[in-house]
Amino acid sequence: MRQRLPLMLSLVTMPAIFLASLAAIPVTLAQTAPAVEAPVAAAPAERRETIEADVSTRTIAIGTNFTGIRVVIFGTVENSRQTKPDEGVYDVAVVIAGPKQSIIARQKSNVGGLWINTSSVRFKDVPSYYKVITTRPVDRIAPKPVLYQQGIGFENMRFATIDKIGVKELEDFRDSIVRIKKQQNLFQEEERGVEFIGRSLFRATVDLPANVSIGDFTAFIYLFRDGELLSSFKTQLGLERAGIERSIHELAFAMPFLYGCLSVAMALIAGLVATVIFRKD
Amino acid sequence: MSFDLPIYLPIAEISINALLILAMGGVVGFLSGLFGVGGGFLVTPLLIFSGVPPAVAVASGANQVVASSVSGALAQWRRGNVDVKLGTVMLTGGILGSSAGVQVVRILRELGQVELFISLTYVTFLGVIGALMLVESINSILRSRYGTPAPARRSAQHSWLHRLPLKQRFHRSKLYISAIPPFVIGIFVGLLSAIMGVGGGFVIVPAMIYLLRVPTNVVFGTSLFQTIFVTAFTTIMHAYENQTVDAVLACLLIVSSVIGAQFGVRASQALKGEQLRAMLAVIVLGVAVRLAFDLVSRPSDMFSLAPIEVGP
Repeated sequence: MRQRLPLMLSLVTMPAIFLASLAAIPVTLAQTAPAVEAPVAAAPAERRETIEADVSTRTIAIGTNFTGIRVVIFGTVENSRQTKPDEGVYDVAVVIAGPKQSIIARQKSNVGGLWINTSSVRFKDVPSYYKVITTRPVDRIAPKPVLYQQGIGFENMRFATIDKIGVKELEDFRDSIVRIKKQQNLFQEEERGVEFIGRSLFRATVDLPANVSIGDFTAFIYLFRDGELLSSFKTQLGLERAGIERSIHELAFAMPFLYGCLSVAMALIAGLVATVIFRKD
Repeated sequence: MSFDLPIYLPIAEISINALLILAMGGVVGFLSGLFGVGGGFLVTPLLIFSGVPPAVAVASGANQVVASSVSGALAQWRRGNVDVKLGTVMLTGGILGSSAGVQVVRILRELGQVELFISLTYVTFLGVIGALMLVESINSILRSRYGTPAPARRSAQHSWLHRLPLKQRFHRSKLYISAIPPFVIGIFVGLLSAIMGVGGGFVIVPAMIYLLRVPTNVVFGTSLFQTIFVTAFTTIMHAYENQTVDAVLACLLIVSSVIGAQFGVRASQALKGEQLRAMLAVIVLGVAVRLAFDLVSRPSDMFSLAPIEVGP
């Protein structure tokens, strides 16, 4: 309490004082209530921190006006030991992954003056979208094995291959996936994108581009302290087609022949109508 | 003032500037009305360049060509420039060729060489045809300018064509020839149509002029007539087999191209046949050179990605 008092006094705005006094409540309670197990000062050290989070929008409707969307991921660290937001006790990593796809990566080489695809590797379960947002550069958050275990960061993503391939070659193809997906804004890394706005409250924003795949997205939120993974949390968001965009897509896949005929009919009518209109003048 | 009107395409699954697509459709429509070709050989590369996945560009481009050919063909029809009989013979072959072409594309896609094959086909045909047309049309422009008499039409060069059986009288074209050459040309064009995602006007127009010796005024109308059916067939095939026809994209292209086509037909009246052929030749050659350049220049990235279907 004594330590917090000058801080409280220095805060001028009403909401801030309110927040700070809220933060002080548990300590006050602990002091007034009779200590049962351990001394007050040691109590927080016993409790392990856990993380909870959610996304601002669980279902995203994709209509013909879709140009990408911003999603906010927010969460809280239970039993936070931080006394202020920028203390940096914790590292948080948020990993958002889109629906998985099988892809083929092809490599060109020069054959008789022409650039031709000469080798290829098929990969399965490659996330169509992948974004990692962290409080600090990924490699400083935790040791490599920990990050690799969880697949946090481009370096630590694991892609399963369908074809057998040598180690060096695999690396080239793997790098090509990351490089091309980055150019398409489908793979993104944002250092310092997770921001603590309270002792325990944090948030991060994700701008999903217009070219994202439609389907179920997962968001994993990891909590680290001193390179140790303390807790993780999984939440989901879904991108769904909506409105006329949905009707068109459903028709195209459910009744492809009718859809094709309707497309041709539309073209025929448009051609006829234009001729009739232009005939008058 | 903003020139951006984003619209999300349901099949291509990308957001694109609708005004850009409208402008592209208008220009392609104008050219198709002007030259009597569907314009597929322009619209497909333009769409791919705008970020539309190639498969969707090919299928939706074919759908757009249906509309611009109807528009153009009707305009020609009113002037009596469509030889229905000749067109029907060619489109029968065309539909057969198109069905075969889809299988060729499927095999090449599995081999990962479909893009190379499409590019090579484009470069070869556009290059050869563009060059031939350019030389021929410049010669006729020069001849008409200096008053040299043109060599007699229907020379003996293609006499073997006249010895083939199944001779038919094509009144509108003032021809009495075997049905086999137009049928074979039809098959060939259908094959190219499926592989290149085009109506095939740029192949059929010179083939009719130089091989069949069809009068130029009938050539464009008849080519457009057969293009309607071949591209309508291709569109339905793509929609049915691959679900790659994007109705929203096609609709934008269609609206602007049918309007453009009307202006194109009007503009074509003001120009002579050989001038039109020279202009078309230049555009065809331009596309060929551009594609050839892409084949021989070092790509910015040696690697490329494509989604695949994998069984369980």
